[in-house]
Amino acid sequence: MSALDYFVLVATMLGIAAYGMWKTRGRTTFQDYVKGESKVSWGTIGLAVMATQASAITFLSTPGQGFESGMGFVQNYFGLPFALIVVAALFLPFYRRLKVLTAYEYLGRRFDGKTRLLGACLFLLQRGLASGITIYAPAIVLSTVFGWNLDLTILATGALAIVYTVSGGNTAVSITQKYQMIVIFAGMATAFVIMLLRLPAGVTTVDALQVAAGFDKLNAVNFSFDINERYTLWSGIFGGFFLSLSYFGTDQSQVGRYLSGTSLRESRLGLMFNAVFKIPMQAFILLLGVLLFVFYQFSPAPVFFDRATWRQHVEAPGGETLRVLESRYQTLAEEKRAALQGWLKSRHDGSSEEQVAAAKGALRDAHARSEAVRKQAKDALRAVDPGVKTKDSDYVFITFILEQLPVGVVGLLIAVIFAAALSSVAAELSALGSTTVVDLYRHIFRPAGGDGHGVLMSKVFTASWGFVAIGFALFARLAENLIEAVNILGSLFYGVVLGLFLVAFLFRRVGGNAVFTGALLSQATVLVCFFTLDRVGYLWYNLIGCALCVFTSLILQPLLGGRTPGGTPATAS
Amino acid sequence: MMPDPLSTLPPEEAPEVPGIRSWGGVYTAVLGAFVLMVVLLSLLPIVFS
Repeated sequence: MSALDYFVLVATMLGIAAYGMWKTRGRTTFQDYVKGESKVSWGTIGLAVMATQASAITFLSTPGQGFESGMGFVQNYFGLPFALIVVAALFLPFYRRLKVLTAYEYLGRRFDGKTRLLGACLFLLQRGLASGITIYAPAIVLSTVFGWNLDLTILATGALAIVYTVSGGNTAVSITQKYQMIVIFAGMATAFVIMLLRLPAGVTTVDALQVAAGFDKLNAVNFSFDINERYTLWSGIFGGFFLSLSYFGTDQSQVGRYLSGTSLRESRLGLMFNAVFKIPMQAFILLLGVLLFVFYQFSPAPVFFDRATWRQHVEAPGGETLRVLESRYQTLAEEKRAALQGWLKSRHDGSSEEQVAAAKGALRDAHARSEAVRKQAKDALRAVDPGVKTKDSDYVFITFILEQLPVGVVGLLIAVIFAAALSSVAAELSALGSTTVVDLYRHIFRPAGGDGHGVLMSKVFTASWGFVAIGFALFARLAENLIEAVNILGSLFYGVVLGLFLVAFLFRRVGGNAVFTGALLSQATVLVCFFTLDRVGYLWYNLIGCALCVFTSLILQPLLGGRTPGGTPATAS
Repeated sequence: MMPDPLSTLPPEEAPEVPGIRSWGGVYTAVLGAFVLMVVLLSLLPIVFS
């Protein structure tokens, strides 16, 4: 990176962080630190909710998903609008009516202390681990850009996130997220436009999209009912619905965002903003990845996108095989480019359908040959170093940024990734710290200290969760794909947590004993199924966990009974 | 005692969205946008094939 890139990166990140800290200076009440000032408009809520969900993973892994597999991943978000409507219509009124600081506080008031602790602990376990992956993603960027050791980069990134989060509190998180999202939108739009401008002369945007369609990269919607297929319309709507409902309705990192709204109306409109714009945003990022694939059909592409790892092994003893494969890949890529130009020419000059089909067949054959060599290169890399991660899709977009974008824009795009990382990590660590203080520390120990003590303990626990996240981030490289790892982790726990809340909202006769026991049994069943059945797509575990929790709670209620906090049987409430 | 959660909801606030009078209208519009998006995404490979 040039000096201008560094300036853009540092000025953007420090400027936003400093603004957030300046706006929240001198605020020390516990309520403000944990929940915010409840003066936030729907636009800020909408951007904050979007920023919390869209981490650096979104901007590194999702273009890689588009590059590798096309647009199909967008179906993962199809359940989101339905879920946000349910949250806005059903969950939000209860939270606002009872003026809770965390979602799990509601469980305590509806059921009992142990159910509140269970909900909070499931959240802390899941989100604590996921925040490690959130830190890991930008660490890849920084280690690639600066050539640093990845572990040291994780430590440095995590430490920066901790300082930023602990000093800011929840209000600063919301304020900075708005400006971070503006930087993200500007950066991604700039990258998209520059990529289109960098296509070879004579290749239009329509040509690029036709090339993408020719490689089946634009197939966004899969109507198959096969439960073993990872992304379909149905798994997206039903599995994605439960994942989104649990995430937006019960995950404190999101609940904290929309509870800071001025009124129920502002909170609802903030959620509806996401219901409308989240899918187009994800489709846009995936399309960026698809067009990256097209771009690298016309331009020289590395045989392996993790360039640092490749160079390290090529230069080591036994690297001759890798050099040979790299050379063969470049030769085949030249042949593929010639076949691609031939196919486009046949479409442009009015050739017969048979000629166009023959040209397309030649292109597909050339692509298959080059992909076979790419696979051989990965196998050879693994043979040299069995511990190396050979899925390189997370490195596709950053490679494009560093090698293709002009000076200054590189800094802006690195700022995009960094802004996305910080906005998510800040919300996650803030929620983890708040939940630990509100639902565990204050609930169990009931300390006598006032606001000052509450704020101090919030800062201590937020920092502690930051260290846990760093520890987990150091192991995250074992996951083949970052964004999937986060979603798999969420799917294993979110379903049961959602079940707890649905029982609370919808089944007034069920009490704490039944729902607590039902949730424990359901979580154990989900984990056993996940580790023993490998044919079930992970999104379905949201539905399975939720349904099991609701079902077992209803079954157990007549057996275990349960009493509401006021001493009245739950069935009479 | 915990109040009956379904009987203690705050009164509905109008959405104040131009052209839409109720929250049901807002949710319907959101679902309409979703259906439109799915249709557009389904047509994408057909249009550029």
